[in-house]
Amino acid sequence: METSVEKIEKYPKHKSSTQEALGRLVKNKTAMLGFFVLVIMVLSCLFANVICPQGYDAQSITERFTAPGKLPGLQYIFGTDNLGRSMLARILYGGRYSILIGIGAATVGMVGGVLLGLIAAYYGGRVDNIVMRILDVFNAIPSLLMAIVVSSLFGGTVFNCIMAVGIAAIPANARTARGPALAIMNQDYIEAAKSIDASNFRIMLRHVLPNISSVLIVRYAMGIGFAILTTSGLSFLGLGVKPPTPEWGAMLSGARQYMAQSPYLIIIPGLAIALIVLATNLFGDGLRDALDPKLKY
Amino acid sequence: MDEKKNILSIKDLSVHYFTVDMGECHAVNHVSFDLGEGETLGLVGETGAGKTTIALSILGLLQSPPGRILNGEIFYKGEDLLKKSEAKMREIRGEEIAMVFQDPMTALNPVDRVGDQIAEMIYLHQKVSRAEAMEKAAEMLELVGISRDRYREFPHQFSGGMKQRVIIAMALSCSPKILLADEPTTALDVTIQAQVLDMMNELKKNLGTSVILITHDLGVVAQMCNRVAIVYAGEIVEIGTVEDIFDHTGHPYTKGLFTSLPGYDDTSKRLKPIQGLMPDPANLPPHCKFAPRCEHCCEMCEQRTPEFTEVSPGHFVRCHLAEK
Amino acid sequence: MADILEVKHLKKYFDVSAGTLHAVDDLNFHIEEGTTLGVVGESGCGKSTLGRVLIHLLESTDGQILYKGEDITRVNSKRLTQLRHDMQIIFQDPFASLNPRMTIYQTIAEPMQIAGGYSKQQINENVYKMMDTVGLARRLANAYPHELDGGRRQRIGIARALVMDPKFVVCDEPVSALDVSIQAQIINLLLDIQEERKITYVFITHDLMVVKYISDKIMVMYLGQMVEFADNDELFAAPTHPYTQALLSAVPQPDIHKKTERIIMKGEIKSPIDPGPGCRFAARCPYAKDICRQESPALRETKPGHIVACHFAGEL
Repeated sequence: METSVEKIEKYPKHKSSTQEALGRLVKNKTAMLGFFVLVIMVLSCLFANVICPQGYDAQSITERFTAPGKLPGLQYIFGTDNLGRSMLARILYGGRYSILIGIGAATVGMVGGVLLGLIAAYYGGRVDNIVMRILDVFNAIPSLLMAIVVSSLFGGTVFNCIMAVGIAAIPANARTARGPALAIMNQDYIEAAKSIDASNFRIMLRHVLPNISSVLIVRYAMGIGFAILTTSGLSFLGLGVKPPTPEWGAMLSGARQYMAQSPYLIIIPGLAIALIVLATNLFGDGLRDALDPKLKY
Repeated sequence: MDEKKNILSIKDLSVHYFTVDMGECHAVNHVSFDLGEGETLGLVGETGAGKTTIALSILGLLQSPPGRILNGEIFYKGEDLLKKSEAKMREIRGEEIAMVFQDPMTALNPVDRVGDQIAEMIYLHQKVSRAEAMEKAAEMLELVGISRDRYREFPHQFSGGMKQRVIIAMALSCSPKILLADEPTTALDVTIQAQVLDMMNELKKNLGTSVILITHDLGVVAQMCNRVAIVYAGEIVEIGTVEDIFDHTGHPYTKGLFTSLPGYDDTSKRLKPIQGLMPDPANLPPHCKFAPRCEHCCEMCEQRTPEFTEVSPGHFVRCHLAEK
Repeated sequence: MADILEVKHLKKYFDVSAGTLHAVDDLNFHIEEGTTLGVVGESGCGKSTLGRVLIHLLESTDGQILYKGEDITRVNSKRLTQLRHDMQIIFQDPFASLNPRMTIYQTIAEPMQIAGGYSKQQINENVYKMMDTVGLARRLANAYPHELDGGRRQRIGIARALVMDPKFVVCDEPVSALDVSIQAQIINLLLDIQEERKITYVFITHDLMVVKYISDKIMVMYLGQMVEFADNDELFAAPTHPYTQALLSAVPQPDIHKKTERIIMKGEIKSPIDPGPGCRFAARCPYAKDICRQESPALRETKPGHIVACHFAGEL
């Protein structure tokens, strides 16, 4: 017999179901298209200061309302706005805020929702009832209305925006997490974990959460797109990020009065929002197809 | 035994499943057998042996994709069922050939009255009025030992054994010539199983239906069947009368099935299981499919495919040992 | 040998919308160390609930459980942690009892990680030793359950239960989901392990042939109650309760020459929700008299060690 002490690394690695899902995702063309659009948008926003070193508020009074392509040079590619600022710079810098708020709000909503959903499913009974009824009350208020209340109470900073949009997403996320978690709670391996004296925390984290993660990942990807949309809506209403911070929704709102003579001022930020939401949804859809084993063939 | 007419004969049936993840699965390979009139044939084998695939092919219910019938013929009344149109098959299903599935819990519609579900079946297949169909349905319920007073109840008011009896009543309601029963009692408790098996035997005697009984339980086979086919890795490895199979077991796999049973050999302290696992249907051994698990495996088994040898009249064994 | 477990008037009731479900109703029995108690009954008779109550996965409603003489019916969390090492369970469904996101290695190592006090090397050593014991190839250490067949998965479940070296293991239908040839492999494995480690089993099953093969003593349950308790040989030679007789006669024998006269039961199964007085089997019993429907039969010892709950025990 061989010696009993062996390194686990010696044995062949197997693919976990998540890894198999990633393999399927890579083969999905529309999902990958969404993914590449996302990556390009995120990267160009991240490197906004390299692409447009002049910054988003450099004005040039002589070149106001330049339509896209009228003047040569990268910074005029999307034209200039009513103050002669480069639209490209404003879109890129603004994208930083939109994406930051989108990811931040989706994260807040997901963490809060999963926490509450897991607790409700795990403890069941009265705890479940109390948590879910409170969330029902919140659910009765439209999420945009919720966000409006929060940001008008506390003011329109980036942080408040994230919290407002994120908290509004908690009830729906909690419900998404609770359903599959309840199904997992009935599985024998949860009872097996209890029989080897695993703590409640450990069971939730190691046994329940990984097995509902596919639903949550998809929800998270879609949540980012939705949060960007909500944030833009807030800013459009003047309750989000305040000027001169270039946020896409705020840009749309600011451009309304020039819409007739310079429609590109509206079209460009509008396209940016549509494109990023479309990209996250395409990617999210692909993720769901890849993670759902029922659609294996 | 007197010579009887065959009601169904399957010739050289091969069914493969084509899946993205596993590749081409050889589920059923060159299976041939006949079913005599009024006879009960047991199809015995383990999970994944291809028993259910054979039954689904007979009924034309094979999901395609991923399944595909590569070749073979299934003769019923002199006609090849595989060449029939879907509309023709729909007529044959239920009217001529009926099937009982394993799980009584999911085979009934939960929001429809039990009696109406049987009546619907009769109304669809026979030229009768609604009222006649309902009367016939009530009769069928009584036939399987359920009072006709329970006609208007819903499936959830019935126990598992009673649900399975309702399903059998439904299958028999159009007096089919052949009944395909796929593990009809596996989900039931033994005492209930005894009731259902008794009832099936009784009905068979009265109605003269031919039955193909798919099961993994040799005890059920001993009670119910005239002839038995042992299925392993998509092939029939042994076929014969119950006496042939139980008293003159030919194939090592069949022997292994018997010695695996607790209570078969009371003298030994340990059971004698078949070593190893069923081969992967996407990657079958080239010659004898059982060779890797067989304790009698010799050189010849790995070099040449064994013939289906007739060791005594009507008793065929697919093994080199039987050839000698 | 000494008793490892003694159960007195054990009850487990569940509150359901229609009333109180008597899953386990007033059970009394004891198990000798190193032996196997087979618990037989049909679905819904409370045998699985009993197994879970014995090892504290469910809290009992009333009664006492004594483990090596110590009352463990109500214990604090510190003692429960110790008991969890001594008492384990093997589940029926090899597909539902393993976390699909954990490798074989992680599943078997988890009890030691939770208990703490093991070095990485010790855990390594124990996991591989355990894999050898239950007959899992070491190269499968990083495999996930969905890659394996039912027999191998059941071996993982057994390894997980045995890695802390328990003294008492509840086997809840561990072979009923497996094919016969695989079933025989697992039964042999369980017997080998018992011989080697002197473990006590409570073997819960509906399969009488399996229980006959593996048990020293057998308890027959019907709707939460014990109807008969006897040594293995005695029970099969002289079944006394009408239910046991019907159960034994209903098993299809894999033998075409042994034609047993089957007792076919009629009648409806009584509901376990608020069952009321009277013998619970009376409605299906071919010998039932008026007294059976009015009074619950007391347990009677017809022969030393052979206990039956029937008004007419020994007369039928």
